[in-house]
Amino acid sequence: MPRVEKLLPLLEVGASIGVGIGVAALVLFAFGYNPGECLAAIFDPHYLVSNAGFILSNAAPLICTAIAFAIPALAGLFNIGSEGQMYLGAITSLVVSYLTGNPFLGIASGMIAGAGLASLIAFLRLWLNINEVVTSIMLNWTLYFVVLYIVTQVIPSPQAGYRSVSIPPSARIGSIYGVPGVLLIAVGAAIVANYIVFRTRLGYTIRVSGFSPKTATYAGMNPRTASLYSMLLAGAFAGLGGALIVQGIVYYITDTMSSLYGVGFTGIGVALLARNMPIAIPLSAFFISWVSLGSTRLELLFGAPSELSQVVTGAILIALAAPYAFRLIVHYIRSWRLVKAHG
Amino acid sequence: MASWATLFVDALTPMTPLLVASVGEIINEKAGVVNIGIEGIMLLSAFAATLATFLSGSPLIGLAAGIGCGVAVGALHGFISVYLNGDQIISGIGINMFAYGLCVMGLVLTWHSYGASPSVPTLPSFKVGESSVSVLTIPSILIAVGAWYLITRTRAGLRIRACGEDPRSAEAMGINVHRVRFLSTLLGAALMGYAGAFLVIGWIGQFTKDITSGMGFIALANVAFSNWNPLLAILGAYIFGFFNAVPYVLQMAMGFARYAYLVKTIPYLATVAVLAIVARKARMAMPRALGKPYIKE
Repeated sequence: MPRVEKLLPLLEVGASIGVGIGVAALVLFAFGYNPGECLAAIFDPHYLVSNAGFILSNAAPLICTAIAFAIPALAGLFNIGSEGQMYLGAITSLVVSYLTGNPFLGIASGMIAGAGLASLIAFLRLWLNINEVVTSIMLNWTLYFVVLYIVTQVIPSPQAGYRSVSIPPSARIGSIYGVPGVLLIAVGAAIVANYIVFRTRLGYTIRVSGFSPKTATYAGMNPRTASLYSMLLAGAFAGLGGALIVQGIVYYITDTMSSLYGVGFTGIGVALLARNMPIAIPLSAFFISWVSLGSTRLELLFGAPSELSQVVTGAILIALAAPYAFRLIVHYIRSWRLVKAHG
Repeated sequence: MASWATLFVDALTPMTPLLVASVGEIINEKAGVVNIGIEGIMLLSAFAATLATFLSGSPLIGLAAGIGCGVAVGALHGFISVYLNGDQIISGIGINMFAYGLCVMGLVLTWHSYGASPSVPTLPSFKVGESSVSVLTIPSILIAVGAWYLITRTRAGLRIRACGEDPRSAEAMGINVHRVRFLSTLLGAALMGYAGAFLVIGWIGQFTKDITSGMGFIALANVAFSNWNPLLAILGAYIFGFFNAVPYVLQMAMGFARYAYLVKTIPYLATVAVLAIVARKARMAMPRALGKPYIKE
């Protein structure tokens, strides 16, 4: 059935979300909670409507880090360093906008810093053949401690000991007609990313190189430069995500880095849920942001830790890793239909 | 100065989990399966070991629980990678994220703490100068030598390597590629579980949510450093373990309060630097079918 074939990607995504929620229910049950009650609290539509602004703002950085995973993934690289690139973008944007008070300089410097870090990973991978997964994680941890050092030792707030200075109101991103500015920027970024990937020569080279480096070489393209550019773009988008957090959501960084921690990793889940299609990323970021806020609510209502959202995202990822499983299911549906048709 | 001399002995402690986890990954990868979920397996196993030791009072039961937990997660990763032809990297990323969420939830719900578990008994250690070394360090070296013997000197090892190099020919020779790969994943994950359990019952004596803090990925770095050779992995784990011990010793000796955070970056930067130095030589022995699902015709 050709109709089933076309629906396959949607089926995979839907089934993975189902697996994620099912695993969350199991975990809640195992820890002695009522899964039905908890899931109803997470996915309560009234709660969604009354917190829409918060969910949308927090989806914005996720959109950026998701693009930062999706573009190199199309080129055949695993950028799990978006976490560190986002940290660097956030701290650079914080320092620059604190010093200059200019929002554009803050965003631009964050993007450049992120791109710089990503190009280091790409350089080590492409010229020294060092696994990008390893360097990414090492740089994530390095940046984690560097940001903590800057926050606590270089620019601590004179008013409160647990956080950095705040950026001045002139460099903050507000909202337009009630729509968070960070969301508009992030959705704009997704549209730009989609245009680059599907409508430009560079995007075409990136996709061909990811599909088959040999084909790209025969066609006169250079897969190496394609990978390098994909990482540069990724770093810039991850840096943008960091800049949006400090300029549009929290305005400072605390000594636990709670507003930054995990945004890069969650972005990987967002990207894979959108099947690495930039244009689908805002929707999947919205979903994950909703689940995250719902898990926070669970903590307030029942005392169940909000890390449940990571359990959900992790389980969704594990399920998405095995599309073949869903194809098998479709195969069975198909043969069942055939059997039925021929009675 | 005394503390600098002890650094060479102190390095043996972080060396142990790094070595066992990277030997586990070498066995995995020799069979053709990449598992970047080492970090998550170590974290879950550390938690399981803490819980089991806490409940039973015996660190040996904790060790068994850690290994068992490793095998269970390995079975999941193996099933996805081998039988479902899944994407091994994505499965690994998912395992890491899932493990972190589950461990923090477990920590909060079992002990009502967001940071650390209560202290649990550890296995005995012996004194070398001013430092102490866990008894589990000796078996870790035996494990590495045993894995080298298994891979290079036995029939089973030949089968494992065949599955990682050229699964189609291996199948033609009558090897059940899927079964060999699945069992190798289990064995590798069991060793990662041992490494995770060691963090608690051989080293720190309690569970914290950042107990692994990148160790699983340093173990992954050690696989490339050692050129997929378990004997060289001993050297690599010692070097990476050395850099892991540096921040502790620096802080003990000099008390760099102001630079405490910066000192903590040393192991990570050193890992990248060491890899960059040996980069040209590494990757010669990388299994050719690494990370590629084997689809039967």
